[in-house]
Amino acid sequence: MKRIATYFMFLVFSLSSFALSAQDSLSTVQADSALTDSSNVINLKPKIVPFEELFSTGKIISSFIVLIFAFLLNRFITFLLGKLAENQASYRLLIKRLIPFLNVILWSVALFIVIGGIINPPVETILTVGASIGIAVGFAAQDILKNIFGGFIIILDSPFQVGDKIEIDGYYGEVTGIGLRSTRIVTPDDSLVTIPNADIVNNSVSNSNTGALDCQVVASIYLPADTNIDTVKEVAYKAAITSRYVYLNKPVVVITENQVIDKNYIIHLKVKAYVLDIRYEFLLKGEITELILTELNRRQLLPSSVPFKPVES
Amino acid sequence: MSAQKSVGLSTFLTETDQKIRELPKSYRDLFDLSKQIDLEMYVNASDNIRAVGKAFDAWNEGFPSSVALIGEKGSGKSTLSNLLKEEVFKDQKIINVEIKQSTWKIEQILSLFGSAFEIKDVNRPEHIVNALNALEERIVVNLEGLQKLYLRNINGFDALDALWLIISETKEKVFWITTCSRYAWEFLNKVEGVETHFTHVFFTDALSDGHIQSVIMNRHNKSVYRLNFEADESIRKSRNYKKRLNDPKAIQEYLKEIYFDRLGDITEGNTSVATILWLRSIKKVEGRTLIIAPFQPVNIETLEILKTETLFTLAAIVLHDTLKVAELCRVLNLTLAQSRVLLTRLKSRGVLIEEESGYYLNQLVYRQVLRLLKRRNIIH
Repeated sequence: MKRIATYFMFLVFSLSSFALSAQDSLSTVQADSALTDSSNVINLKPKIVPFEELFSTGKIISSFIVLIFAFLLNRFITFLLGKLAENQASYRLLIKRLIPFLNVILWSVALFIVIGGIINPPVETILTVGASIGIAVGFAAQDILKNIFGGFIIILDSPFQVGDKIEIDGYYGEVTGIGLRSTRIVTPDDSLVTIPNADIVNNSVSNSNTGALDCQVVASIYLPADTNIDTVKEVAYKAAITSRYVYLNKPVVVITENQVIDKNYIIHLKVKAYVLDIRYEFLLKGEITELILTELNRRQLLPSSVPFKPVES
Repeated sequence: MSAQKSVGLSTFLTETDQKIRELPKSYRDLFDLSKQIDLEMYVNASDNIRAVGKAFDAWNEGFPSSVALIGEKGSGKSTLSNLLKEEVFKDQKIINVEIKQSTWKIEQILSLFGSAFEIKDVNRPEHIVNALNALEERIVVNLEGLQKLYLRNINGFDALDALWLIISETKEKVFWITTCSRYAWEFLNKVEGVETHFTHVFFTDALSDGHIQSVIMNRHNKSVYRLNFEADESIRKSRNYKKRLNDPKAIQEYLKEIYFDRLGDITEGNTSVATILWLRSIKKVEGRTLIIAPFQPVNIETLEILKTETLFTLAAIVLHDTLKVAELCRVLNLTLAQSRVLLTRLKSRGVLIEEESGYYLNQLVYRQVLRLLKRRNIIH
């Protein structure tokens, strides 16, 4: 821990030194540009900064170092917050939500230091380059820009947060990261799915827990039509409340539906319960199903093969 | 709040028994919670005694009443129950039924009640109901340990269902007074509305920091010893301490205040935990003076008990107070071998204690374990 703290202090110190030196160079350049302005009054001619001066080797190296520091600091903060979040179950989602915000803030500060403090181009250059880049990038990187704007919209609009369980475009899983270009979710079978932010903004997103640690889980059991419904409902309720993963501050509900499948009557038993941590979602679902089936088998309420009751024509 | 130095559990447990054994027996006896105590030593009892008295008066006037006393393990439910016998039910016939081990099958509860009420051939709850209603005189039944009347298993509620039937059918003839641990009560309330079976519910663990100080000092004042509180490094550096340096009495008052603040924080109203930690804090006895060491909370985070299975085992123990290996199997749907490994591992680390009735949580880490389980959203 001490080593991590020392490393962190070193990073902060280095970054602040760079920021200070960048500020110094900014004020020097400002003084230069003030002189340039006064000469402009006399000459009435804008001074064109030579390319070599604007992108001198020193400036490129300084910019590069600032960006590397920003990258390392970003990774370090993300790592620290991730560790902290895993040790604090109640605050896990809250802490993880801070990560994308901090990423955006950190990169914005880094870019400001590089452009405003180190390179410091004249306004005319910024406008010209900006316009050129805008046109070029606008044509060449439409999708990337869409995704970046999508990322901003996701962060500001917050349809979901890191740690939430969402379903989008047929993929269901826990959001592990919201980046500027894409959002990453981990599916129940441990696959990492990267979804471009533009797709998320243009599609419907289903959020299972919306920031809460608990979320509703529905376990389904299909039973023959002549099953004793009262007994089965009692067994199902007790199975849900005795599961170690259930969150009992929210209600457990057992409902039945009569369904006709392939001209046969079927009772569809649904047990709706909340899980105490979204990470146990499938464990709760599995445990409820197992407990119900085991108990119904013990009471000999389940036939070995499902005898369908045909619909009378 | 100043930084507190915490100690590891193994060191803490090794030292605790030894330290308590070294104390004078007369002093240890004053803090023995299993012994009967006077009303003046029981803090905040008067309100509960008065309220139970009112419920009892209502029952005497023909209004069917039943009482539940709820509190954490070690919060004084049994002590209150004993005081009630002397203060409220003085001239009343009382039958005590203490549930010592898990009694979740219907035949177990029928056998327990059969022998307690001296009824033969009990096969159904209705037999108990009929026998109680046929009694000539009205009686008080003091049922201790409602938390042992169920098992968190799909078939573990039969005994409770029988009890509800017996209570509801005999309320006019019997004044039922039961005790239940807080977390079992909350669980049962959520899953089957246990509260609706009782007309009056009282809590014994709602003690403030001031009450906890009184619990300790009421007992201590019965002894001949003076107290001398020691300051730790962080307190010695504080301005409040330095400005009292010339006044030893003021320093002792200040240190006492800090000690009981910290004790109140860690025990959160639990009498039993507070008394054990108090005895643990006595560094040495010098003549007629007890030297009280700065308060050191035990740190259980260093233990490898953060694994999911271990946390669920601890939660099961908290919900049932005591569990045997076979009972844990049923609660967590594990095999016997898995349950045994989980329980013995926790026992070897000092977190659980094993007795004939089963494994239960060590009072020294009770509060820390509860905090951990709440933080993990497992207990609410």
